[in-house]
Amino acid sequence: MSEVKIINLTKSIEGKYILSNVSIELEEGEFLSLLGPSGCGKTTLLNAIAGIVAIDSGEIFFGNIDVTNTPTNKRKATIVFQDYALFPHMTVYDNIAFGLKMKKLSKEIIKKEVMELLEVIELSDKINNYPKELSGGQKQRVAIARAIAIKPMVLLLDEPFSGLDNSLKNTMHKFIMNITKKYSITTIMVTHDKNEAFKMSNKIAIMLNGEIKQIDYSKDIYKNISDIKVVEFLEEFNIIKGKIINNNLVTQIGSFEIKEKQNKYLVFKYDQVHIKYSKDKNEMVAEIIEKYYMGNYTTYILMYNMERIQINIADDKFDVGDKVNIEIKDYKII
Amino acid sequence: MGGRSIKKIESKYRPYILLIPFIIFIILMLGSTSMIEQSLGYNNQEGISSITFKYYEEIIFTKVFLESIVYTIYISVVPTLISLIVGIYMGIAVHFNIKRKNRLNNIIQIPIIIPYTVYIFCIILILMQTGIVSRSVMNLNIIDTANDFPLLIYDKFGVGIIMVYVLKQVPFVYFIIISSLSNMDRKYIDVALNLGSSKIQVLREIVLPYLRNSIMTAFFIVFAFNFGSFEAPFLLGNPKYNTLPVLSYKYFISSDIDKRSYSMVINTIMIIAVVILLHIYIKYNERKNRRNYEKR
Amino acid sequence: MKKDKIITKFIISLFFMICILPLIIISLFMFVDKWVYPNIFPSTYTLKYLLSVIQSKELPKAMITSIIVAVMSAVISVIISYPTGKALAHYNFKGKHVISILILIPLIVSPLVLVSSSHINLIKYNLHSTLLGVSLIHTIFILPYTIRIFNDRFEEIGVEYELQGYTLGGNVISTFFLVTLPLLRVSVMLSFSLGVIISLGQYLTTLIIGGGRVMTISIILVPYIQYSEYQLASIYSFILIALTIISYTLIAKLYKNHLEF
Repeated sequence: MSEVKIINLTKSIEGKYILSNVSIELEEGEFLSLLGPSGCGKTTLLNAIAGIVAIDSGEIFFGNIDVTNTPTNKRKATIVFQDYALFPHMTVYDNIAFGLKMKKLSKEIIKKEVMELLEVIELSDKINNYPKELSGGQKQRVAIARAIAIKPMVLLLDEPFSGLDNSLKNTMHKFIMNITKKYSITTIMVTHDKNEAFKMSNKIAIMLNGEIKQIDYSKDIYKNISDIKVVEFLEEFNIIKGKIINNNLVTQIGSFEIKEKQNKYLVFKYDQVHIKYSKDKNEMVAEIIEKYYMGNYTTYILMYNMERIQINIADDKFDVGDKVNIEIKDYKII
Repeated sequence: MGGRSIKKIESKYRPYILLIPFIIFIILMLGSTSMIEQSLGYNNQEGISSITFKYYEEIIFTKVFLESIVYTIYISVVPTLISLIVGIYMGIAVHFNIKRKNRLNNIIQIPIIIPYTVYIFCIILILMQTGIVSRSVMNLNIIDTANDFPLLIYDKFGVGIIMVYVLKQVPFVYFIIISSLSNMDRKYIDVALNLGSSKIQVLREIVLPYLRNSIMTAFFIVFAFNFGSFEAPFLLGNPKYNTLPVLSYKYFISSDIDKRSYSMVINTIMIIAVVILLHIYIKYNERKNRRNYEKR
Repeated sequence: MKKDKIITKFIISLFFMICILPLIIISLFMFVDKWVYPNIFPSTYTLKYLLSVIQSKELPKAMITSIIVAVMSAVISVIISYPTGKALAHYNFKGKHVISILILIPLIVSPLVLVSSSHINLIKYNLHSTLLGVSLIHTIFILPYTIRIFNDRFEEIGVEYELQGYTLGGNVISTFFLVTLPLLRVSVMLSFSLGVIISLGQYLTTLIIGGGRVMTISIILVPYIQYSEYQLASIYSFILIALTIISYTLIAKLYKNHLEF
């Protein structure tokens, strides 16, 4: 039985579709990243799952309980907003204790739970401080503690790292991964940063324009790519358009056997291309027209038969104007 | 007074230049100590140039004065509390339940605009013994003659006065609440609901604490206004029960110069009390941390 | 949930009706001739009271006086409030605390107290019983509100805009006209309308400072209330309300047309 099941959610505002037939299935304890550009509807989806926003059609199940029409204060899906929304007039303790207080649990039980969480988030010394006295990272830890204090079935995180600097991000990545594993909480996280998505989650759903274009285990995303829009979104691929002639996809770079009639594109990653200096003057050669030193690697833009190709390789010895031969190691036909 | 823009301009003389119109005005209007002087028995125009505290002694401990203080406090507090409770309820109810507020808000502004004197007149028409309520009640055979209708104006409980205050101040409180609520970020309510609060819990834990400052300000303004108000107690009050401003006025128009000094005594005491209270209020406000629930 | 909403709507309608009730009663009473107790509705109606007022010499004089005093009060208030609000919002200076208290005093102290204090001065400057004198006393009671309006607005705007104007090469005057004033148009209009409304409603102050010579609508109205001349009181109440609402709507319309921020 899956922990979270979302079936064909649709929502439109003034005729425009914000969510189109969104479906997701998650097992208990799984961590899903909702990956997509700004404005694609991922925050709306998260709010819909939390019950803060109404949907037009579709169903939401937690376990085998239909929560589609349950108001947010009865669902067991807590959400952490981008700016944390910690109650400014309450201390750290009261913020974390809030959900438990609403359940009318006894003071002793609340104290036990909150103290335990404070230790996990390593903020026991800030117990009586107010939110405005905390740093960004501290606020986030409190917000997450507050959200998991009531032991929700689903934890929803809306771009939790957008306000943090890089080193803090890494620390918080680890923190969230640890805490969700420790309490075995099914988590859905919204992000526009694909590196984050791959690092933290075991499943990724790529969302574009209100639709889920691909949903897979993280390790299978690249293997199973089949939508050109997803390829474009990931921004790691060269996309070469070709024509279908006699069951072959013919491009400026070469001919390739096609799998399906709709195939139109040759797609290969920037780091899947090898180049070497061209010795033979007659072979088809590419010319390096731009070079960008990126620190860890170098980006070269090549011109090959009037096609622009971008490659990222470790070797920075090549120069603009060099003629090179290219070899594509791995590619897909989409 | 506010806290949004912390940054100030660094300038030594500029602020004082800006304040010149205000200072000129204050000196022009209030730059005489004649009120205090008169309370001390000193009156240039009448040729008396000695200071005495006798007027203070004579009036402060009289029954008239002390009863007046108590009555004034009563007449100020009761309508304030009623207006607060009703106004807060209305403000919250409308903000969270009514989508199209504009027309409603326009109508509710009417009592704020209409002058007090008009409301006083209306209350007389409604509540006098031959007034509209009395007629309605008579027609329902609840009373037999006009005299059976209870005295609601010119009475010792000041019912008419209280009603005038309430009619005018409920919309005022309502607007303070509504404008405060419209600045509140909805997010906090969503979070509270999401964490399992019922609607009442949200009200108690989130909304009311947010409104705390506005409510305090509203209480202060309304109470103070009622305390110093003249027209309503003067026109609707029982001649034997005088509020401090009415008492002061009655002494003021007397031809007896002694009595006029009593008026000045009362005025001086009132203003000193007010200044002290204000001082405490401002200090208290500055020390409190301001809670920010506002939208960014 | 539904029941909740119905109860709320009912209470709000009640509230609504109570707000309009005074207007209805007054409109009714203007035309009443005989209204025998305990009838709910008047027995006979008449226009004689209305006609007597319209034809009276006092009415136009009183209306003009009221309007002139109201406009003067409003203008003086705006002129004083603008720089004062700015000083409080944009600068920290010695004595700020005292000034803040001074501004709040008219709000809470009995009008009689302030009138007594000003009485002597106004006599000294020969302003007693003049339109200007009455306008000045009204201004005292308008300032707490209008200074607050400008103070809040200046705080909202912040000091950056003006500093920006200076760093881009403007001097004090051009910055004022091109940068500050447009941002403040709304506050000016709001303060002006508030000034007019407060001034129209003043009674005691006008009575004492006007010395019986400055006749505003309020001054005529109150004795009619005291002496139970209900029809005449209704008519003058109506005129007062009409003046107030017209001023308010006029300014609200102007405000909507200039709605920027």
